[in-house]
Amino acid sequence: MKIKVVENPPVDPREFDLPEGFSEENIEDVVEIFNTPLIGHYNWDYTDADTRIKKLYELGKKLNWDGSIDLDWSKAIKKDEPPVKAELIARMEGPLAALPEDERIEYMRHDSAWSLSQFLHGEQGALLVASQLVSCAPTYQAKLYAASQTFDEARHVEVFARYLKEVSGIEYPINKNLKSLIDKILSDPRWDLKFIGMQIIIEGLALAAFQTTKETSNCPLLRQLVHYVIRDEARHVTFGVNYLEDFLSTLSEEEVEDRAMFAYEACVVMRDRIINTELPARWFNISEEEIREMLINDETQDMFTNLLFSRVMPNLKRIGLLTDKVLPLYEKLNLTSYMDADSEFEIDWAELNKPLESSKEIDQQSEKELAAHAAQGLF
Amino acid sequence: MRITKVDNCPSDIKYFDHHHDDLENKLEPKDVEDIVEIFQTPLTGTYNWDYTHADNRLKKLYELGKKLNWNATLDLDWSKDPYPHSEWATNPEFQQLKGFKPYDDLPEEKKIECSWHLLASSLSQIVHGEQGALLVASQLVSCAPTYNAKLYAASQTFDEARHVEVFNKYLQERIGWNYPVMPGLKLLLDKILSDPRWDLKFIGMQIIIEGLALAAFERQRAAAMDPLLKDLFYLVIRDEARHVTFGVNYLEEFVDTLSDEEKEDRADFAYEACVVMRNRFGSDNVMKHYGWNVEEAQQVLNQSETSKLFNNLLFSKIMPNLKRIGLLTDKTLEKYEEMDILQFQDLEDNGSIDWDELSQPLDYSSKSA
Repeated sequence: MKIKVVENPPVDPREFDLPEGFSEENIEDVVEIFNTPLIGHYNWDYTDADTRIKKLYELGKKLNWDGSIDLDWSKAIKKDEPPVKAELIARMEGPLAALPEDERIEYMRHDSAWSLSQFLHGEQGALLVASQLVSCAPTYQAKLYAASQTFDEARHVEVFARYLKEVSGIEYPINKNLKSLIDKILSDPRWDLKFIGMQIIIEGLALAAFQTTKETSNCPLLRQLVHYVIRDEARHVTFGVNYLEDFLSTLSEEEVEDRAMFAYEACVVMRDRIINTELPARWFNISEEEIREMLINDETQDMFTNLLFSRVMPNLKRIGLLTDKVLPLYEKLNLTSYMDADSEFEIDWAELNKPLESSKEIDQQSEKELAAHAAQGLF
Repeated sequence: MRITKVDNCPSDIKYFDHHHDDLENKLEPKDVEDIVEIFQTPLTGTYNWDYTHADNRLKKLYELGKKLNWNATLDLDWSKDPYPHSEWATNPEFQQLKGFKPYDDLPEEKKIECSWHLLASSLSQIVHGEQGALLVASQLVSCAPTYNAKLYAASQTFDEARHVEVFNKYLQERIGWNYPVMPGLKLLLDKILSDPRWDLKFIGMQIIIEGLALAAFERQRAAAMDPLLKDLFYLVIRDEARHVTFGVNYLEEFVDTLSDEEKEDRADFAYEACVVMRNRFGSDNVMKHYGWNVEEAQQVLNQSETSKLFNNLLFSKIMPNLKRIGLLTDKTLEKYEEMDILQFQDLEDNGSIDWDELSQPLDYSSKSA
């Protein structure tokens, strides 16, 4: 067991050139420590009513897919194949379109690895938070449910890590802004705050980002992988909204304002700072600031950002965190357009209960969803 | 959400109404009140920034955890009529209170009733112990430093939740009442859950409590009369065997990296945990329920060779594993000798892995016989 403790996460992307069947001696675990005063609860009342939380736990047990068995790893694209669907490449403009084909594919491989790496690190954060929730959640059913989510998150970490290693061949370190948000979430002693940050904001954004990946990816394996992850995340967000709505109603007004402010600040970080400016800056020799400027003034990008928040906003509203005080702040960020969309609260049990779809069905969905979004002028 | 905070765990038996009906359908969410007790623990967690994993033993155990993921709602047959309370709950040959006069004087039907109380008491301790295991396993996800161990701990967390679920379901639907946690077990859980050193949590839970459970479950499976309960134990034992194997393999490597002084600390802790678990007298709260004198009963039972052997055998899984991970130090050896459980140290430990055994598909129906 070789363990290297570091103060900060690594900063360089990592290319995998590990020999087949490499042994334990090649492995060094690089760890970074965080501290959190955990306030746990024993629950001495094991009675469970037939609640929504119980149903979500039952679904978690039933839809427990296994990445080693249920994903078809033979359907991965090769490193020299474009990671994005051809029709999208055809529509590309700007410096990327000007690149020779092999270089453009190489750029896109890095770009996709960057995003998938953020998914991976985010899932590790989700794994840590879900596991802490087992201790912290006060009710019996929430503890059981959190345990099933913990296992889900571990399986997500597992499949993204494997995909990056075996298919992309590159892994990027965690974006420093995502890291600072996860740090804040993991070390806060208030469990509900951890939960708002992770379950509503980070997972909510991830759900939208996964959806986009499912629509645009040229890799059948990745489409299947994110689809299965989406199925789990939909359950997680549903739990988060239902449980937090109940819990937040037991808090004082001041405590609610605290949470509302925290959620707003987390949204700010996620809106403006989780954009891959590093890669284009390096590739095209422009400053990261310039790229950010370009993106912020770009209308499609704006639509895209709003789409990312399309899950977060109605859920924040539902659990009571769009207070009068923070609402104008969101308006300034231009994020309120999806506020009145359906919240995850209206649970579509039939949808959550569906058996896991085949690769073929997933590909058909992917085409349909992409066409619908393209018609709205996205992509 | 109604939550009552208490400073101590409840101390009364809790009866479930309509336990032979479908309880869940009778309860409305508003009827459920959650009784919670707070514990605090300064958790030192780690992010792991190296997601590479070799195809090692821990990875294999994680893979097995995913594959053998049974579901109590689907994989056990709850549709049959409950095993009647007019029959013995456990094999009448092995009633632990035999030889204690007030018990011997009971008419047969009362003895049968008592067998259900004894079963309820021990299943209740199992539920509470599994809740402890659930809490510890989940903390290990944060605390375990290596990537493989984090993933593995997540699969164990889910296993423990399913154990709490299934034992609790059995108590509520097939027995109808549960007993509160016994002071000894609670003391150990408190110690394990609030200690800041993760490896100590791990030793306490994975080696001591789970090791004890593994030995106890095998015996309970043999003694149980209800086929459903036998099947239930079979499924749980399959998981526990994986957990103990993981614990031994991981700790063996980790304890090796500690200084002598740190090792002695862990060895002492393990010994003390064994003492606590040994002194837990499984049927105390049943005695109280029947109004019997607990000390008197304990004396009678302590003199019985069978009951002594019976209690010692509980340590048959723990001792070889403690030896394997290097926690039977010279200093603690004597103390174990005094406890009369050192004899087990050379039995087979769970460090060497029988993959065939661990990977067998789940097949309990044939094994219940």
